Amino acid sequence: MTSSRPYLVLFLFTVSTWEASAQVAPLGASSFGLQDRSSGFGLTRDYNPAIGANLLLGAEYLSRDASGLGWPHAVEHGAGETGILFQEAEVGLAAAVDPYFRGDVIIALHRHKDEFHVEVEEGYVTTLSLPRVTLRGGKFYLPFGRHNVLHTHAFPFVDAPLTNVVFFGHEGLNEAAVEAAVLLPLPWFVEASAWAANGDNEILFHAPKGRDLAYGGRLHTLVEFGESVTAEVGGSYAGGRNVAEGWTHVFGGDLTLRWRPASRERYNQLIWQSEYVQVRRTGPRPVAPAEAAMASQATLASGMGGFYSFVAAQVAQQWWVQARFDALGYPRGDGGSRLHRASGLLAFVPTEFSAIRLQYSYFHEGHVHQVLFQVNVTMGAHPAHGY
Amino acid sequence: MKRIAIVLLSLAGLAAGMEGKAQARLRVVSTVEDLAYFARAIGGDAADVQSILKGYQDPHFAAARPSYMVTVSRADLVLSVGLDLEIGWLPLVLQGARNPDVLPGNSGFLDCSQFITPIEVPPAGADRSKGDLHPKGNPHYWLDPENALAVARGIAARMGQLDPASTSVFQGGLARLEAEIASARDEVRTMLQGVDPPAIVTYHVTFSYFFDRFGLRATAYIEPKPGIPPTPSHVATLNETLARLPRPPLFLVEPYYDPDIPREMAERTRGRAVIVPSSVGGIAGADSYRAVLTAVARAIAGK
Ligand SMILES: [Zn+2]
Repeated sequence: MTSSRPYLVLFLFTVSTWEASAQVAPLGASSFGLQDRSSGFGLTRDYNPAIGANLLLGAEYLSRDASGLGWPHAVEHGAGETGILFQEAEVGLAAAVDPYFRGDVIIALHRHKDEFHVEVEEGYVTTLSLPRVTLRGGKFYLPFGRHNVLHTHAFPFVDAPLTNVVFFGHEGLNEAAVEAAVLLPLPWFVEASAWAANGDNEILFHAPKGRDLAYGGRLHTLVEFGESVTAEVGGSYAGGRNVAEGWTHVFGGDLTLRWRPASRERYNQLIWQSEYVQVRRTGPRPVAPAEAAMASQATLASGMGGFYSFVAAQVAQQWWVQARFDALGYPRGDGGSRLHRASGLLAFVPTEFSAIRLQYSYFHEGHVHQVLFQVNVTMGAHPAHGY
Repeated sequence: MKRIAIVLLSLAGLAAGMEGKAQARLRVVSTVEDLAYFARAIGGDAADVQSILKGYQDPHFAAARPSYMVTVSRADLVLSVGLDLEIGWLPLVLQGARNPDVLPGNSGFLDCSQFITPIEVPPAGADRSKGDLHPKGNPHYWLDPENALAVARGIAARMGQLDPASTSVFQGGLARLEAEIASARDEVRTMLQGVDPPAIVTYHVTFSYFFDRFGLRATAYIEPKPGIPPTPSHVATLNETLARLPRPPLFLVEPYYDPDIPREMAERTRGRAVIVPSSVGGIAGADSYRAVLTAVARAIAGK
């Protein structure tokens, strides 16, 4: 039997590139005034996508080399060294394609291991015209837990939780995929989603060719306690064939409590969010590849779990105070080690479009101190505030 | 590939099986309480009307709470203020509701700003260095009773289009609402007759349409720029200017702003700070459109 390789193809980029170049000409003409909407080239600005750009700049201080942690991959998003940081530049385009579809393209320039990479972080089409269900296809952050779906500029802290960095890698669970998400017809919010994706994630899946699809789903509900307090509970699963031809199962659970007092919306908010992730593998443990042990499957013990829990308090219109604790090795699985980190963050948020954040982290193993400073600015399209 | 298809199809089938819009009453969901008040008056027993936000909540800083998606998923008609007032949260709610009937462009979505002429529209080429919030003009238009009349007529027409069988109910409701709005307008005129208003200070451009209609104006704003909180130096400069006025100023405070700053300013300038509703339900007792307008007028007239 010939191996008919089931592979989801991402062809979105060609479309989006055209879209992006199409608006260069009319934008250049905008100095002639906003009323000038005509174009001799037949390129009109009227239906251009909303464009937003994001810049993440900053600096990092690390008290000593993080490689002593036993988890070299754990210090990320920081460059993992002392210095000035150009964390990321991101451009997002979004538009209703027609009455039936919406398109989103997010292109990012970011630094990883001393090199700059440009990548299509996300590019997907979403249905608008189906009742109850949204179908989505393209490349996107898979709906696993709460943190995985966030872009870097929307992270609650400057860096990602240990679980997400170590279990999913620095790009997260982000694959070419198709997804269906249903809003269940209940009196309260329950959303069920299921997806199938290319199992390309090197840490979790990455099976030899022919069997590389990964599958997953998420159930997410919200309960209201009066008009100011909500609780959100979610459960997630992702599974796929791994390098050693066994299966990798990833389980996640999350809980978010939020207090947002009515009529004080712009001044105060309190969020307590926690998430737990565990990775289980069947089949033989993979052998360490040549580049060895950068948080690859070879170093990730089967049955390994981890979590984070943070509290974020908006104490005034422009000020946030936050604390986070995260850990790996609960349970340790078959012979893994533990890592604990405590972080504190102070943020000055002049408007919805800018934030200046100072974060301190302490890695208990290795006694490493880390200070991260970040300037986070958004230009253009008004950002949507996911709940 | 088969496995994906099966998962997707079963989810879609589950969704389709659960559909059922058999209810007779037209279900209307509005973003703010004032539009709901109009729709309720128009719809009477023939409509089931709900507002997402209460009158004392801040429409600029609302969040896309997933429960709002559930509310909108069951709506036949969504009423929006428009002019980007709800831009930070409504688009997410509309998409998350997965109810194509109420998406912009369809008959189940009504942007009520189309019935009024916006004021305070920023000049072409304006950017966010002047503050954000209202790039398409001032969206707090419902406090002008003439705008309220136009919006009410627009809502009634759309409701009749969606539920033709109830047109006579809607027309009757609209006639009563028009009479109520017109008499509220006349009552405010009477209350303000012969009143020499003090210098009025508000947090935000919330009352611009009301002021325009009744020949008033705001002397100063506590916000240095729309959406930007006041700094101590801005407050101090304002206090100095206001204290030099021949008459003590009046601070009108919207219910969702911090009342401490205007209260303190009132003390320093020998003025008055009054919390006034900017929407139906904004403060206790402001349970009708008339009550909202007269509460603002009463504060200005000092009665
Ligand atoms: Zn406003």
